[in-house]
Amino acid sequence: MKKVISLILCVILVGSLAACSKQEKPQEPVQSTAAKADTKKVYRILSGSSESSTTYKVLKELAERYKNEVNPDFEFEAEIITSTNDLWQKLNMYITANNVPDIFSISNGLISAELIVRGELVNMTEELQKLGVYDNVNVAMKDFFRSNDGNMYMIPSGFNGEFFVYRTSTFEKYNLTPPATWEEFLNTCQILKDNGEIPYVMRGADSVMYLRFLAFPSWTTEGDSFIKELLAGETSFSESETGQYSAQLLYELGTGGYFIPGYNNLTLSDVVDTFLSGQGTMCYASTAFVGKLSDLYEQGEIGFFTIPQVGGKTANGASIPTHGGKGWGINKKSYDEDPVLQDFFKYFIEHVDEEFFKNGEISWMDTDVPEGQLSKLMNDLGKQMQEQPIAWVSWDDKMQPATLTTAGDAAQELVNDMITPEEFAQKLDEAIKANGG
Amino acid sequence: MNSLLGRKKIIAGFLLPGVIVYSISVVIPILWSIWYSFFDWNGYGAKEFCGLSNYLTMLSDKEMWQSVGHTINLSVWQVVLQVGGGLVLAVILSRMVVFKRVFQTLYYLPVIISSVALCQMFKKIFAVMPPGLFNQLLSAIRPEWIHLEWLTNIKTSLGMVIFTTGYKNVAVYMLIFYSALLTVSHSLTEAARIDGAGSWQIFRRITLPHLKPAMIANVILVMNGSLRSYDIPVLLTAGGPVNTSQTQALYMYKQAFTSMKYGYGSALAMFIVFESLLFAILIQLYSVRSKGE
Repeated sequence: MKKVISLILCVILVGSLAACSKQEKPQEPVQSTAAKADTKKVYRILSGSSESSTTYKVLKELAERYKNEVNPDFEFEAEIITSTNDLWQKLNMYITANNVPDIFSISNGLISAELIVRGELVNMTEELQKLGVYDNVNVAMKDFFRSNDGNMYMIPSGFNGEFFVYRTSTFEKYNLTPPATWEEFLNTCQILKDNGEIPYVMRGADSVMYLRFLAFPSWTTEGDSFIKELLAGETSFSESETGQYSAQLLYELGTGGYFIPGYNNLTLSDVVDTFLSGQGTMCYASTAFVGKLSDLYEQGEIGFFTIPQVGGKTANGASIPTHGGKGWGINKKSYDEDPVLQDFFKYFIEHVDEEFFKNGEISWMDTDVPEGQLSKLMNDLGKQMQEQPIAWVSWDDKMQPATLTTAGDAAQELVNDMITPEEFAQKLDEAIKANGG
Repeated sequence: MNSLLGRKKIIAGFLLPGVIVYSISVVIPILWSIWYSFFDWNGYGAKEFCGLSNYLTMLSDKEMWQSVGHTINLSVWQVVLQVGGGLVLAVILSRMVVFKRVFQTLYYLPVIISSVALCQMFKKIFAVMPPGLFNQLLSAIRPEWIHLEWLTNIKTSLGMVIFTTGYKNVAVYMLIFYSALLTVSHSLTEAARIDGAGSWQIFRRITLPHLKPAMIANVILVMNGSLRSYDIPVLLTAGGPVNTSQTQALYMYKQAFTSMKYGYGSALAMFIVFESLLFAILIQLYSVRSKGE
């Protein structure tokens, strides 16, 4: 009897554990066709843009319009990760787990290169050509998203431009003009600092803005050749004039005391909000924030200036970094097997221009802007953006993750005067050599 | 009942579910990590066997040893704050006559608040631009203190992580000590008082020795938790600025998931596991030796 009781107790214990861990098997998502559907598939989207960004708004609005106008069964769920580092980590985990979302933010870099080799990304060049719109895509955007085989494997999430913003009243107070060279930029910062102003609201929560300052000098003079040669081992940061100039620039900016106190915790969004709250004289922003900046621009309270040039060096005409942001990639397996996803993509491409204009931004297609649709700031920026000879070259996407981590850490040490520009260049060269790029 | 529980098979049967869960959630991942630590792997490409290369790299990795130093620093201070602070709070609580439950609840609040919420609160309190509550209070003493940096200063960032971690967890050990204090024999303390012993003497000679087993257990728990400290450093300062508040767990995460070096990250994880085991064994040996004495 005792044996029976103890056996029953054991079974109950083990059984209760099994019951606790048992999960309701989710209903298997069944693909719906454009015509009829018995069960709905919920499309998974991984977005690197926040809910308030035009990028996400365009996708969401078009998804809702598609649902209302074409396919009432179309449902999607979005996972939003705005931190770039966290986004790539999550995407890598999905890739490792063979659970890539249907639509996801992805840059034209190492992760996309791996997915292309594995045949897991839809060839957007082919799809856009099938839809007859490939020739309308802005040339700089094609350049920005072109992979090694010459095709695009992601579509732009926007036509973004980046620029410096300044407070006009503060500039007028000290008889300053928007700096045209980096020497003038540093001089402007010094004058502001000497007069008790906070010169620059710096984004320091991640390494993006450090890499921007390092990349600007080479981009405005050599385009993408410097970073390509650097990562291929054909040149080095220590030995090249460009590398030395960039390291020195970042060092002077950081150690000059020009950054706002507490900048190490500021994200891009925090930077713009802090600037708009009245702190700091200059900051770096993008067209994603035109909505927030427009009113002040129209009132004449703020102005913008383009990337300063390297004094004494021949400029290549590039002055506003234009890019497609983190592009939208589509899971090839999902796409090939699902006519609904193909149909949604077609709808998206047909209406993407309208949505961008509605949201006050220019589209990544070379479409004429309807009269009076955009703000004065967007109009003024847009004209210059469309004239850019080359797209922005993002170092974040080109470097190996381990090199990027080292570059970010070393940049922080540099701006905090813990290492010299020479030591910084050496660390970067060693990391590139050790990590193969 | 005693004869029932005396049978080893029956005891094993009751222990089996827990052992299974522990094996699946702890032992197997550790073994898996040991396996990965012998490979060079970026998470989605091919794994390349590299033998002990990851462990040898660890020996000369300056940043890794800096993070170990930060972690040991944090751990030692956690023993002071959580164990020492917990004991002080428990003694105060045991002497309170009125509002005991109110203070017990207030002290325990940080434990139940999630780390995310707590770190967000502290980030606002210690913010520089715009000035947080703390700097605003300090500026009443000296106006220039309104721009003092706490979380983004290389000299104070680790201190802030230590303080926040201690603040969050001290009440757990307060409760453990409080329960142990309640078991101190009243007759012993009364007898000591009659013999003319003062409060401090009673505490030192009767209460503290009685609390020694609880103290050792708490030190092991605190060290074990602190050596693996990750949530508060990453949420409060992200290990910065310039890695000055980076703990070894955070460094391991950075190597594995940010730098995409899963093999090296696994080797670092193994280091943390064996380090925790070593500390636990050393403390237990000390306890056994002092019992023998």
